[in-house]
Amino acid sequence: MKILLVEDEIKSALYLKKGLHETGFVVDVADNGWDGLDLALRGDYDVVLLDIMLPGCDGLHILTEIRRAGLNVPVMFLTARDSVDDRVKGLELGADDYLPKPFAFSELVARLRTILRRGPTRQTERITIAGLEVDCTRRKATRDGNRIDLTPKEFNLLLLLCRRSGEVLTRTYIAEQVWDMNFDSETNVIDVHIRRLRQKVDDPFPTPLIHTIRGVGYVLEER
Amino acid sequence: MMGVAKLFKWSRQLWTSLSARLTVWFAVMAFLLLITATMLMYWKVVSHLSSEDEALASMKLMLVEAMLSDAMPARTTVQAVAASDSLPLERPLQVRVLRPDGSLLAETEGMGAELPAALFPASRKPTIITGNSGENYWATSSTVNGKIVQVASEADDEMRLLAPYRGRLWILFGIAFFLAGGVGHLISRHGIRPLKTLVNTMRGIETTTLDQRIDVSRLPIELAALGQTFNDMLERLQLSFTRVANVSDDIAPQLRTPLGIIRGQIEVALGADRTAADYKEILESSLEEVVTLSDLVHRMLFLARAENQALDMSQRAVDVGGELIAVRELYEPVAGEAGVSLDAASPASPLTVTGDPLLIRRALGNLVSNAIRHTPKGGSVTMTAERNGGEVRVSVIDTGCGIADTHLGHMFERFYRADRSSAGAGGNSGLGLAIVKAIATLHGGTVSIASTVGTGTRVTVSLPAAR
Repeated sequence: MKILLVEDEIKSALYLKKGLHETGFVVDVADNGWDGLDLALRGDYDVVLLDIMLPGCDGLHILTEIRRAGLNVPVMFLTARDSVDDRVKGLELGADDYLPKPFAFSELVARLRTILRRGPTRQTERITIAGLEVDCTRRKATRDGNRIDLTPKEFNLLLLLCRRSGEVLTRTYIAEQVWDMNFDSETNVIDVHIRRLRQKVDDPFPTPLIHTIRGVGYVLEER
Repeated sequence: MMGVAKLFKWSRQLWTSLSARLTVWFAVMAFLLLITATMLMYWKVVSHLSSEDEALASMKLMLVEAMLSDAMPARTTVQAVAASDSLPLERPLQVRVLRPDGSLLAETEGMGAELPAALFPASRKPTIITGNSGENYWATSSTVNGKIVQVASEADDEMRLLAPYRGRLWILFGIAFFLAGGVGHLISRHGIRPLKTLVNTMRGIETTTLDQRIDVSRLPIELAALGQTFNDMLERLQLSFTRVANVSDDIAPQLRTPLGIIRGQIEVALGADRTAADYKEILESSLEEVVTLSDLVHRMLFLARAENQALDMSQRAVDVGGELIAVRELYEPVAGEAGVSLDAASPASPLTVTGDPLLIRRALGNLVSNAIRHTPKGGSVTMTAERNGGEVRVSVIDTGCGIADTHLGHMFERFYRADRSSAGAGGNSGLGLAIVKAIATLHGGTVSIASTVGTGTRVTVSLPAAR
């Protein structure tokens, strides 16, 4: 997966490149608008990440030119300019997503994956991770053959963690996906739900699958 | 051409001045009124004088008739009538008596040359005739005992009589024109003076002197409303300024604390060689502080955008009962851990409001998590929804510690915390209730709070019911 990152702030570009590279992406960085536009039009990228305010020409202009050239590459804005106007303008010009700074890196990765997964969605019937089996159609979960009793919301939470196994999910993202809720994260509400889920999914078994990533969120994976 | 253009521009400029406009209107009106009144009076006087002449001719004709009927000789009659005392000075009367065949019997001296008998009308109805000298006369005639009587009185006397008066009238008009303009100018200047005072007061108000107010009691009624409006605006401005100042004071510790922690622990970490695990611990701890900071920024931005109406919110029908259940589902485990029971009393009939379900849920969530945080073990938090006239009232009632009256009025202000000592503890930024209020306002609703110390608190969000 090849990503073009157009970002003039050197530190931001550096950590994003490093992080995305370690997540498994190939990243090209342009530190001004003209280089960014040039690369976007010539290169064969799977996603373009654009800052709005750039030296040379701004991100909105780059997006306009990309679309004018007939390229359908997904474009995502990363910007500190978080006005509704910008957001609406960006989406109108054909951006696929809009992430205001400061954002959690894991949030960026989650959204990138969502964008890249668009199109033919693979809906697995059954997910198996280290003895944990989740049956999506019958909405049942077992671990090492033992049936796990879950409420509908608990099942949705487990399903989300399993579908995104290996990805760190932020509390905000979890709340959005499972409860359709944009809550103020000063509450520990998601932590309590995860704790309950752990009591059923992890506690009776020798190896835990749900892990806390401090300051970020949760991930379900076999370690 | 230049002159015309200049004049046009000048008059345009003049017209933009309220005082000039008032002056011109006043002068024009006063002048027109004066001219109309004077003209009316003038014509009245003229017609009155004229009818007097006409009546004089008829009257004297009757006198002649009477004297002739009494067999008075024609000559005596003519002399007596023409010399009558009742005649106005300088208005000689012409009288003539003819025999039935038309030959002269007697006439006033000189009448034959001036007014030949043929000029006279045949009837008694007074008619204007013009003498040989060009003078106009009211003429009338009749027949008595076969004798023809002709009487004429000068008619165009009044125009001559009024000529000096007319001349004076024009001078009067001239004076009145300038007087009306001058008085109009004075009156408009005087009338506009309070406006100038108002402007001067307004001009003197700066951001540092927002406590100044306009003395409305000294303004005329029309301007008092303007002054009051301006005062109200100042009040709001002053309030906003104070709030901005307070917010800066409040936000500083909120930012300083996490920044201080991050800076300090990184400095300390770099001061010596450490194990990978130590570095990881420090990074994680720093990340937590950074998340706190960035959440704070997001919340502040949310509030700012909500206040500027710059938030893109959806407008959908939201089933309030359903939202209560969803919120209960999310917070039930938190309440359970705190040993507090959380209930959602479902409304008797479906209640619907129009708005953004995400925002409404966020507001409810904030209220519920607040309530749980302030309710001791064994207490309860209850959500209710009811319809009250045109609005839907959602209340979150807890059996918590309650809030003292002195704090109640401030609970929805940013960063306000009834319990100052708990600042920052539990990740409570003091923005939760401010966000609830902002969301209610965005939906055209209101929030209210009632509390008894030791018994509990009830926060109510009232939203307009969907039609």
